[in-house]
Amino acid sequence: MSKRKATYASKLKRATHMLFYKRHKKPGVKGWELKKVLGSDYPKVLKILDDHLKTLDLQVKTVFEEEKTVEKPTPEQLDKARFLVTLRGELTPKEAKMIGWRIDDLAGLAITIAYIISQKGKTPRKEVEDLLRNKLPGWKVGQNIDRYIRYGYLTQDESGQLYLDWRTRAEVDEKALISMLLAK
Amino acid sequence: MKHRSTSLYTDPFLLEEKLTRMPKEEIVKTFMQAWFPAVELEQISLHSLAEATRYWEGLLPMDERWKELPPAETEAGTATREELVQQRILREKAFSEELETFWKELKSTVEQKGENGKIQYWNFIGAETYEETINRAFLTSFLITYGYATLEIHPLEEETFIKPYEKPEKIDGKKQLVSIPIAVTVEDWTKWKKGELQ
Repeated sequence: MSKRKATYASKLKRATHMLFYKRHKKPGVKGWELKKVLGSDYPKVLKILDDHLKTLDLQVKTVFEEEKTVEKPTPEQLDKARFLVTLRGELTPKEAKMIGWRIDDLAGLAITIAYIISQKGKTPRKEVEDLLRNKLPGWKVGQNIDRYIRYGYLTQDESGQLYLDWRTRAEVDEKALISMLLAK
Repeated sequence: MKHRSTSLYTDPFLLEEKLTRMPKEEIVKTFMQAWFPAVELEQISLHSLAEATRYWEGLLPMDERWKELPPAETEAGTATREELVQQRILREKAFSEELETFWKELKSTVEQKGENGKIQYWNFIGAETYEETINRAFLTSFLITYGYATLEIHPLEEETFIKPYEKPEKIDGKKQLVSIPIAVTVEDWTKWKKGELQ
């Protein structure tokens, strides 16, 4: 193995450890942390890792600070971004159950996210509660919303408005979700 | 920062209608096609166990870690009387001096407004503000405790009078002292201001 190849193989392992194992409260690592450990060519290392992960139906996901997808990110934008490994393909409802989600809770999350998107990104918690109460028992509604907030899918401000949080941006293809729901 | 919005435009009514109509199984099935959950692993490794053991070995026992701290060194300095009054460490007048003045005030009030050498408790302690009323009630309690005045309570009429002594009475240490709690509430003060409290 050439010296260059060996260096990248080692960097690949380090990147895998950093991305897969929980280091902070939120999953994933910031670009500047990767840069510190892997060097300034960390985007290239992540690209190679992403190719490797393809066969395992996983991907390296980049969540930019500005909350929007950036076509051609600058090194500064990458340093501030969060990188994490997510599923590349789809889970079946049965598999979702295996990772700790009940169908009711997942449906509640889907409805909440879709509703907030339709309300241009923010909505009073009361409205979401009313919507969920249609199909979920009343005592569960508040608990579920609190859980979505705790997991990082939603955030709530002092006036009781709900917004989408970092985990939704990292894990949910919002555009695809809305298109699919409208097509039903 | 929290006021984020997405750029996706969707008719909210249309979507709400769809969401209400769709069975939850179908919602979940749709969501599954747009949800890519993050991978998070938590695992103990041999290396971290070894690290933890090393840390444990170097850790001092609790009683050694929480030894009493030496008292903080404070530098001595000087402060003026005005500064101490400002910090409420000293009163403007010495307490005994203040009490004497208050006793004189009680005697003159009784002379002017009282009857039979006494005055209604509230008519003496009551002041423009509630804070001042509390302060007067506080000082009155000391007038009584130190023998400058006494309380006369008529339980049936629910009346309480305060009666100043001409000369401070000596406190008899052998005599059983009685504490009389008198509530000075905002409600009572408001009633007194309106002339509704007797």
